[in-house]
Amino acid sequence: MKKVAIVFMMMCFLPLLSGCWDRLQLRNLNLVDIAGFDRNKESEEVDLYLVVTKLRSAGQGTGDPISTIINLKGKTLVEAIGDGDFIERTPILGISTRVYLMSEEMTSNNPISELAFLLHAPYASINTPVVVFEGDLPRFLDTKIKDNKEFSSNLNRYMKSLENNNTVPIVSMMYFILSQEEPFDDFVLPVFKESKTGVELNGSLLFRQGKSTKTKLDKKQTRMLMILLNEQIRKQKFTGQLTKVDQKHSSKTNKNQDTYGYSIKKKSSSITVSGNSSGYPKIKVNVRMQINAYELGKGTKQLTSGYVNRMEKTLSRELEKAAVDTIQTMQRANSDALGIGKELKAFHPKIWKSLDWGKDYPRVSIEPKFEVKILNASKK
Amino acid sequence: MKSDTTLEQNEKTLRELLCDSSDFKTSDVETGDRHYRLFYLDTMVESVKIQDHIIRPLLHHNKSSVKEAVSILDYNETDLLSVASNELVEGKTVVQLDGESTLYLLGTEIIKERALNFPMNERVLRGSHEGLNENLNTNLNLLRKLIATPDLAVKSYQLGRRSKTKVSILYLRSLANDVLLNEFERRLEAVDIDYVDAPGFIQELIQDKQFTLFPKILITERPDRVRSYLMDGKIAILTDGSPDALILPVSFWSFFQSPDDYQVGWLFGSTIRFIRIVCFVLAIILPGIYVALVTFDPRILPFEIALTFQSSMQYVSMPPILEAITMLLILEILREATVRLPNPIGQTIGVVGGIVIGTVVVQSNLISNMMVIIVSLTGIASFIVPSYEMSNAARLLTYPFIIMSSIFGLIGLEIATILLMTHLVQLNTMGIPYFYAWFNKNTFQDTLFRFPIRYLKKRPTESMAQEETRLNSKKGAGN
Amino acid sequence: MFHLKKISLNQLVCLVTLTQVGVHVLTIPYDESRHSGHDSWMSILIGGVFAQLAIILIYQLGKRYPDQSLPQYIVLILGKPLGILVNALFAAFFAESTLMIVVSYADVMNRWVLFETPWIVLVGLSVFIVAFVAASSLRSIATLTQSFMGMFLICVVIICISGIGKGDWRHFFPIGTHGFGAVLKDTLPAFWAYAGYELLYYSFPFVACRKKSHILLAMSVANGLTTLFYFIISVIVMYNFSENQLKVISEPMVFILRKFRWPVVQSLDIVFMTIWLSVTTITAFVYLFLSARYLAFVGRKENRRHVLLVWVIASMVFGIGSWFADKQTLFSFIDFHHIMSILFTAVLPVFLLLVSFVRGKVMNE
Repeated sequence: MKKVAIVFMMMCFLPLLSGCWDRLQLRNLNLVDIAGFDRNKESEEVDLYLVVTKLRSAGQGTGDPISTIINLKGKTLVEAIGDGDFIERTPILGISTRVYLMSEEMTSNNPISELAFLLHAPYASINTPVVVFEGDLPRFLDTKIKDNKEFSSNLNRYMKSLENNNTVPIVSMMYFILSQEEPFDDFVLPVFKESKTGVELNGSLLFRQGKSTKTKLDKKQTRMLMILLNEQIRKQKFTGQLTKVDQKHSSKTNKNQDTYGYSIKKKSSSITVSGNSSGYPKIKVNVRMQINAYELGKGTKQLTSGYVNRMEKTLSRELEKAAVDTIQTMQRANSDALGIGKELKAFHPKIWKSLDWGKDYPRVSIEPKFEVKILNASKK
Repeated sequence: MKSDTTLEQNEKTLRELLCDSSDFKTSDVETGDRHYRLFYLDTMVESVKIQDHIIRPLLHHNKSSVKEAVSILDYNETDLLSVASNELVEGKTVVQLDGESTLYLLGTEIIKERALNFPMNERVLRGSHEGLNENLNTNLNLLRKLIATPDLAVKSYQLGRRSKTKVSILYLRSLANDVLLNEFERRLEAVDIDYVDAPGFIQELIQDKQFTLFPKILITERPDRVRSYLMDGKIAILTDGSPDALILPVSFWSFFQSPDDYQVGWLFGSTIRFIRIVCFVLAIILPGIYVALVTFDPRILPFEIALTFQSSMQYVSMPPILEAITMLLILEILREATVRLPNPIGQTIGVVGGIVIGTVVVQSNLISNMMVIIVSLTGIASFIVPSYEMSNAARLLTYPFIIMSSIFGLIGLEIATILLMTHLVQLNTMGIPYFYAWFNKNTFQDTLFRFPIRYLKKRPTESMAQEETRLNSKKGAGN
Repeated sequence: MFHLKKISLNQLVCLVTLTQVGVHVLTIPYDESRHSGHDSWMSILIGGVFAQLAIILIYQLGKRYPDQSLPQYIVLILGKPLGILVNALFAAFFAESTLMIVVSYADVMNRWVLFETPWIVLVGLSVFIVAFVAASSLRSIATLTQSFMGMFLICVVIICISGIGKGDWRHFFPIGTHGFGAVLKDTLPAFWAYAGYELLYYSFPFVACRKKSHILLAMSVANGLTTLFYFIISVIVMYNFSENQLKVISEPMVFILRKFRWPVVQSLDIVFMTIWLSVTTITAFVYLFLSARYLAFVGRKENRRHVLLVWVIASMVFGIGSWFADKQTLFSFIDFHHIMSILFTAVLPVFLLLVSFVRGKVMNE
């Protein structure tokens, strides 16, 4: 009886061997390395550029990466991907995509509505960073891939170093898509620009509730944003020139001014809110920095503690000027990338209820306060 | 058949009983008025003993009886020719006085055995290098030397109707479980077969009737291992003609223990023990994982690794599952052939096989080089288990796992694991469970890791010993 | 011959914990945050407290009949015909629980891991493994569960590693603004997630322990472990997603697991769901085992052919499960099951305890 049952069970298994339904053989896949989204202004069509990479003649520790571009068009992204079924060698979008590039055209017109399908699509890779590209995306991809075989791996390495050093906030696709749901979750996306060797970071683009505000922060302002946010900054060198007390913050260089250079060892920033009788609260962003200064305008001369204290105050003032500039740009664009709204909502619910943050944010006074401590000063 | 008083009649009957073998010899001793005849098989007797201790005393003491004259330790008398023929075959000399029907059986066996050597299949770095050999008495001698207490009980049986192989059961009377003992003895006595070829036959004859790939009886060639298991309260079975001792009842985790672990310090011993178990698991599932990753779920691989894997299988025409099974079969063929090859050719063929299969097969695009790496890792990992039977089980289990993973991917692997674990958990030796989880209360000190000897206080539960504690730590120890 | 029939306390803890933790791990705290939003962690903790109360009730019931399991002493409480009816209802309830778990997890696998595999194959395979395991004895099941505890711990480690990283603690604040009523409303879905301690009805006499109160301690430890686990998951999810974002994602754990990034592996959601299959299989086969054991007591004498009963129930589960390919039917079935589970795990022990008290008083007088 038992033997009959076992034989019967074995026979039930046989039909399983006939169909293996979910196979996704690696050697038949086209691996997409970079996915580019572009919108054509005249024809209102969406272009999808998929860079597919393969390794040729791999073995003995060498390999020759070869990339090709596949272009899919359609009225919306979903349709473009659907049309891809009819093209030969169709890769599957995003299994191991390493970076998503969006052109500025694409970001200007509610990109999330196009991209939302990625959240629930099978095989979609949604934890890869999203980056805005300034310039002509198809031509850029074409030339770079023809010129440089290592382009995609270099780009990937660059993204990883940006993420590790916190040079600019790196936003993943999932976070990008979900930001539409949360009313006060604003962020910035890094903006890349073509350079001779590959890409170059050219500031960042402010977003408000998933829509582009079309306002950009330039490189220095992006850096200031990172300082104001509560994230650790690694391996970056901050340099510039010291301005005099009454001078306005300007980007022109002047030979007579002292230059400074430092790197940040430890930093913490916090947001404090104090109520104000006029209705709008006063918000202060306090930043405490401990820095290693390697150039303080005195060349090889010894640093005295008096000089160091004066330098600390001067540096604080410099930073505060730059921070005020950055914050004003953000307020004009009505994009709360510092997360002040979230802070209010979490810790000061009464004040939050009395404000309509969507309208009041540009009018609230936000004051940055810096406290700089130079670590490698000698005590004299 | 009763013996006759005449020498010639007896000689004729004995020669017939021994099928007229050409080594059946007789020798006459005449002293005074006595005429003795000695019957013996000249291939089995030591002629010096017969000359010095039988013929010479018989010649000198021509007035006393055989019993008073002869100085042989192993002395017996019988008047049945069937008994005499059985004793003749064992190497005894049968002496008969003309005119009497009593047959005197005197022990004069010559023992031919292999010299004590290191155990061939169970080498260790630290620990004794003595191995059991094919003679049962020598083995018992070695074991009694290691456990020099009168508590060590030895019970002998003769199994096999026609081969009459001697089998001995050893146990420590104060530790071994009585119910288990009685059951084993009953099973041994119930064996009714022509001849017994230890250890395989005995293993199958006294085992429970559950069908399984996993070995339920531990086989070892080392007397120090036998001693450690006897001290745990287990029972050992030794057979004449084979250097292997069978130990039962054992649990799944005993197959991963080696005497090395206890000699090299607990930290390193634990590491090696843990690596052994991890390698056992790897040997079963590693090809399955690779096939599942590459066929079903490349999403788990980051881009760079996916690119590397893809490039290695770019031009290979066979699907990964076929590659895996082919390579594993080639490995089995190599392994089996290397055992049978005579020594001088063995080295060459090993090198040639490795180079040919490893390099040329990859270069000719028949098999990807990732697959060669995976399969060789699997093969080596399966041999790290100290027990040969257990590593056989691991290698056989790889195939159904590969098949399941090629149908359902990682889910198939998981399903196969669950089925295997269920099967393991249902195994038992006479009601004693074979497999228990590694963090069971009393036993976790010696399964995945080996704790210092101070902590190995209780005997393992599967031996059901009468006394559980083996170590009483006193205050003075260790300070 | 030795036939060990008792399970140790350690095994009881593992059994109960792994039975309680089931398919829900992927959807916590979506269901529990419908009303309470970012205070869903409170609902989960309170759900654990309610489960603990139910455990105490069942323990008290078992203590009154320490040598018999529920299917045997129910006839003493309620009388023979009613007792047999309750046994049959229990058997049906457990079979239906098995069905629900098998079908829910087959649905999860169909949506995230194996997309094209036909529904019948998925359900059939799951039912096959579950039946194969449930056909052994209680001791084998306990040892198997203990061995799988290691897999469960690996999953916990994976969850913790994926969950930390980019997130915001401010999602939790301000604490408690949703009000106690909303938190209580969401305790009900949390309570469903803790179902699994019904095992104690059956296994009370089979635990090897020196004092019976150790059983209560073991069950509380198991419940505490489950509560801790669910709490950690809800904290991780709320750390990563805000309340409004959670409204859109019904399976937040999957997205969090995809955040995992190592040089050698990435996006561990598939690996997690594969390993989690073993944990849901444990839940399913414990229920199937219990169902077969209750069914054995329906009838005049105890039916000793456990293996046959298990396969009969399994084939019925498979037959019904093949009809659930449609998601709408699945949802209405899940709602039905939730009502049933409250009935059997919370209402019934109270009722039985009261009846047995009354009966005890009557017998003493």
